[in-house]
Amino acid sequence: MDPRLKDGVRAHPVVLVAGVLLHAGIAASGLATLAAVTGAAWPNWLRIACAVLSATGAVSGLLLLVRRLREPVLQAISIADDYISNLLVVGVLIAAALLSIVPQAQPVLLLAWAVLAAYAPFGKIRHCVLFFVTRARFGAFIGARGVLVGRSRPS
Amino acid sequence: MTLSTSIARRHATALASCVRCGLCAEACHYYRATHEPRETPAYKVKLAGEVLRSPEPLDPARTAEWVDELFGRCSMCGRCMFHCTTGLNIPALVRGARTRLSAAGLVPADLQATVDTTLRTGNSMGITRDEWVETVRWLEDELRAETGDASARLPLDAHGAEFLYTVNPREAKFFPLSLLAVAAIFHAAGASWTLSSESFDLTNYGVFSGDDRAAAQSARRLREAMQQLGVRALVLGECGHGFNANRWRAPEWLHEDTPPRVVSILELVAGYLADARLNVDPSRNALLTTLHDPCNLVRLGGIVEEPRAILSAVVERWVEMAPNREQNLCCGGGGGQLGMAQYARRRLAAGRPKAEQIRATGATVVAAPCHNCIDQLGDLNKEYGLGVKVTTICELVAGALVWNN
Repeated sequence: MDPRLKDGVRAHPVVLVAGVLLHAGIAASGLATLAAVTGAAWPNWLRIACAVLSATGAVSGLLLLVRRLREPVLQAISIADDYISNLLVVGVLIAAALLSIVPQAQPVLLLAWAVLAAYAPFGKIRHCVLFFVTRARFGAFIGARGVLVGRSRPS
Repeated sequence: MTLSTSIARRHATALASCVRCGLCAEACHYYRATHEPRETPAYKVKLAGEVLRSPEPLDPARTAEWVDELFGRCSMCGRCMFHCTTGLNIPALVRGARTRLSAAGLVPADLQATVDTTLRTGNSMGITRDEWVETVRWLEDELRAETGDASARLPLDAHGAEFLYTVNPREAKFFPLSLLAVAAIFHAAGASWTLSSESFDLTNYGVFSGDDRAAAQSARRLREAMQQLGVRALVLGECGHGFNANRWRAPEWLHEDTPPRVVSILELVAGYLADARLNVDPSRNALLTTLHDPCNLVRLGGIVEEPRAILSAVVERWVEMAPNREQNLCCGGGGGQLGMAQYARRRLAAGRPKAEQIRATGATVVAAPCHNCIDQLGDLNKEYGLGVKVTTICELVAGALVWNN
């Protein structure tokens, strides 16, 4: 389903943008880490882009954390994992952004990734894998029943 | 892997996939009506997770909230599933939790009573065989008077007919004109059909209570009637959850590798119209009409375009609600809500978004192919002063029929 058609996104478009930026930042920080670890030569513009995306992702993650702390709905549904996962990811993003300015930050970045990886199987970061499983099941569910067959978009 | 293990794994995966982003809130009619954080689907997922992960016995300090939220604040309409960031099957999780609560004997008493009545009598309203047969015979007389054809019939236990037609027992008890309308359509189309004197109830309240054994028994009863009568298909009347249960869920409950042919009356009638087997005059339904999409039939059932094709043929003017199809707003009558009196005020409050949606169309007739929805929409009509007439689609079709004699 087109995210723009979702009621929650319509009501909170900033959350969609922050979410996309957070995930883009995670991808960029992964790329930056890979380049740093392998010592691969990569263009300066890409290094800067990854740093900017990581920093933007970190800010987005912190905004989402503030929202979680302030919104009554999110307060009602949140558990400790939501805060831990957010802070671990933001930690990686900050370390990745720092790497472009301070190359000596590499051990900090690797440590942040290691802590994140160690925690991931126990918290909601699992959705990086389970998202695809759940989406596939959702598709199979509505596909088998033909819910979206023979139509375009709701009028 | 057993079915229960498979379902448990599905639930575990789904629970682990929720990122608690809260973006599902606005999709839920309960939340839209009240803006209470506890009405959010994610909150229900959280509680469903507590129930599903709880060791035996369930914590008595938590059961009151679990029952109140998971039975009393969710119609399992599935709209949240489409709006969920990760696509969680939230109604399946809620039902999974209801299954555990059901096993612990925690189903609200009046919903459980409906399930028990079905198991005891074969139908959810406890209608006796004699009452049912008498109603059918009376409707047969009415059909003959209406069509002017003395050979018009409502066949009972006709062996070898093409299909067995089943109803929501509300039709026999409160809305016999719905069954009369269907009989008129079948007569006009020259259909080969039958009713069963014993197994006529397509509803399945085990779906709502979470009791898989009861749900399987209700579904099996209709399958056995099909075999006894030697029919080739089971046709389900206008009932959302009955369609979902008998068409989509029953093969899992009954471990069927090759399910029998189970179709909605709407599929059948849309086919009759496409094949020009019905002579209809849409000017006989001249009032502006709108269409309610029952969640179990449309979003969770896939019967999306058939009601639209039918209305386009038999109604002079009709308008869509906004949003519609799989995005329709739940009326609030599903999930067993109509069968749980203690949540009645909440049910009516949760129906407010639907009432506003109906009012915005300007229509004076609401076509709703589901008897549970019709009951709820009737209540909303009174509660919010909508001033509309709520009807089944087959009643509109029958009203448009032109008899050649």
